[in-house]
Amino acid sequence: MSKFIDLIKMECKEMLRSVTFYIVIICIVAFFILQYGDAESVQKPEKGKVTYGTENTFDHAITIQQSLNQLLQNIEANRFTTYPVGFYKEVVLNDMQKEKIYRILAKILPMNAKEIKQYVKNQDDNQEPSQRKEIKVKETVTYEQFCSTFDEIDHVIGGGSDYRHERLYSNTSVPVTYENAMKNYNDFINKDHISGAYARLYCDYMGIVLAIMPIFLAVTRMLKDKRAKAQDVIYAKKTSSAIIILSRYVSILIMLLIPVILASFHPLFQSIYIGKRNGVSIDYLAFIKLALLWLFPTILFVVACSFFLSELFGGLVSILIQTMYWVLSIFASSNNIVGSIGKNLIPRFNKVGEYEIYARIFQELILNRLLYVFLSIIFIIATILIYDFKRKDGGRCHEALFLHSKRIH
Amino acid sequence: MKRYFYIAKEYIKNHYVFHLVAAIIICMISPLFMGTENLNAVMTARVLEQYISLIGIILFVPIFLPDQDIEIRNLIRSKKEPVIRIKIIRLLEEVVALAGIVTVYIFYLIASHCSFPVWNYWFGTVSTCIFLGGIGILTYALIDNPPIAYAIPLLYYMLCYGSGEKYLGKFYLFSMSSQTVSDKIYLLAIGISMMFFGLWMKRR
Repeated sequence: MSKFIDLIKMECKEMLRSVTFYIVIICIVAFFILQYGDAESVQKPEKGKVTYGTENTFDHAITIQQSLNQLLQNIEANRFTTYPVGFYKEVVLNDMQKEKIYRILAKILPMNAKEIKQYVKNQDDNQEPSQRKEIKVKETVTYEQFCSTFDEIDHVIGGGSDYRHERLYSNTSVPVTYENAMKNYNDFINKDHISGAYARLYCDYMGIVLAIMPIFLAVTRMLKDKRAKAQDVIYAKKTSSAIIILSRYVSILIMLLIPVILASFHPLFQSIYIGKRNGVSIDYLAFIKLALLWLFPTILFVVACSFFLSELFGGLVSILIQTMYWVLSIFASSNNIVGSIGKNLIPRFNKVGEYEIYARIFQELILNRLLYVFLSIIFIIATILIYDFKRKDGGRCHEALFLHSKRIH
Repeated sequence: MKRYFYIAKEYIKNHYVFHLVAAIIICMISPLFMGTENLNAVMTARVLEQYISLIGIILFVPIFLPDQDIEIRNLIRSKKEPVIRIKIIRLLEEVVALAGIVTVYIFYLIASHCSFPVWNYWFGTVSTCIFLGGIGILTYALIDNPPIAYAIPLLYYMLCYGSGEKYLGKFYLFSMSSQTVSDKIYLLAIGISMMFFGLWMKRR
């Protein structure tokens, strides 16, 4: 155990001497500060205001009408957002697919396919959306029939659109009432204790940058021995492969927590200031608690995956694969950046407040984070096994299989 | 001339082929994740700028990878052929590879019934790729660390999300999506300058 701790200390000291570490820290902090800017606060709503914003609703009548309106607008613009394999994809339909949708819609509308087509065409000439005449579904159509019809339409679009029955509510938008706006403000003060709401925004931005920057630190560490030609010397040591890999892993995790904590000071001070202005005592540990729940699994996964891929294929493959995964994760949540979780490596919550949405997605967030912790454990065990295999003269066999012998990647 | 051809061939065969294949695969899998059919000009610009532009990092950063080892570097220095000439040959290969891949991808978009100003978008995409590649080459020349040479252009790409347009002005990567292709000339000029400055720094 003492050897393990000594190795961690040594690795941390080594990292403090490395330029890469400082560049990664600067990148993480710079990205956060530039993107976070001055996040707006939740203001106490004043009675009698014209609007308090909008929100989604699960009301069946509103869902039916607004989903239909949204679909007709999408057909007119010929632009559909879908997530067919969990990743964002924008779909444009050809004339045949549009005709098919008109025919499906004719089942629930008091018009035939030709009339619906004409209606959509006329909408195109009418520039003002507020002046548009609404079509209503037949009175005999139940919510279940509407859902199954829209599931068919979703299938024509290619699947994964907002028209599948479980996503229909996302097409709705109703004005927030004074009571709801007040509830949001009270949640911000009493349930979030102000800092909780800012901590979510902080984790949102940090989650983006922490899903990519640790890759470079991890890959640099894995390539270091190879570049210094110290591999054979380390292979010959008595220390077990598990201790070598785990000490590197733990030291990177510890060192990456430094920028995470440093960057949290900015929103923490902002929360303290707002708390004092409102005469409320804030939760000082909100940032640390949420960072451990939300961001730590991201770091665990990204570093473990980098170790695994670097050990198996070489560092550049790891950078390529993980960068692609990062880009696709960003695209996946680009349509909904407040409360988008799923199986995405980068959960999004790009808003201060909205405690109700957070409470609703909390369980999904926990499951998502547990999934990535589990994957991290798998990757790190696999890395130890590969490293051990290479140490026991399997390296030659591995190099012949996966790495070009001439390259020093 | 024969010697130059040999240098070019060796670079592709022993080092560059992996990066070339990776860039081609990235383009080939794009329909899985993004709509690439029947797109209008704005949507086509998004595909080219936000996705295809990333191949600039993959295609240009490897220029110094063959000489990472100090012994190999010393060996190359001892040869009659100037080091800078070898690197310019590699850069030219990378530019040709980029132009080829972007051209084929543009043809693919045309065949997929996308409507967009072809030449403008070709120029815009190539310029964006060269700019990102230029950042990578310059970073590599300054720091001599391959992972960081990939990290810095990626950081720039990340900054273009969110509030990037506000801070980056004419150097905003996704300007084509708002139908401003003329700003790409700045990206191209700075990108080429960064590439040559990087090569100049690693001339020996």
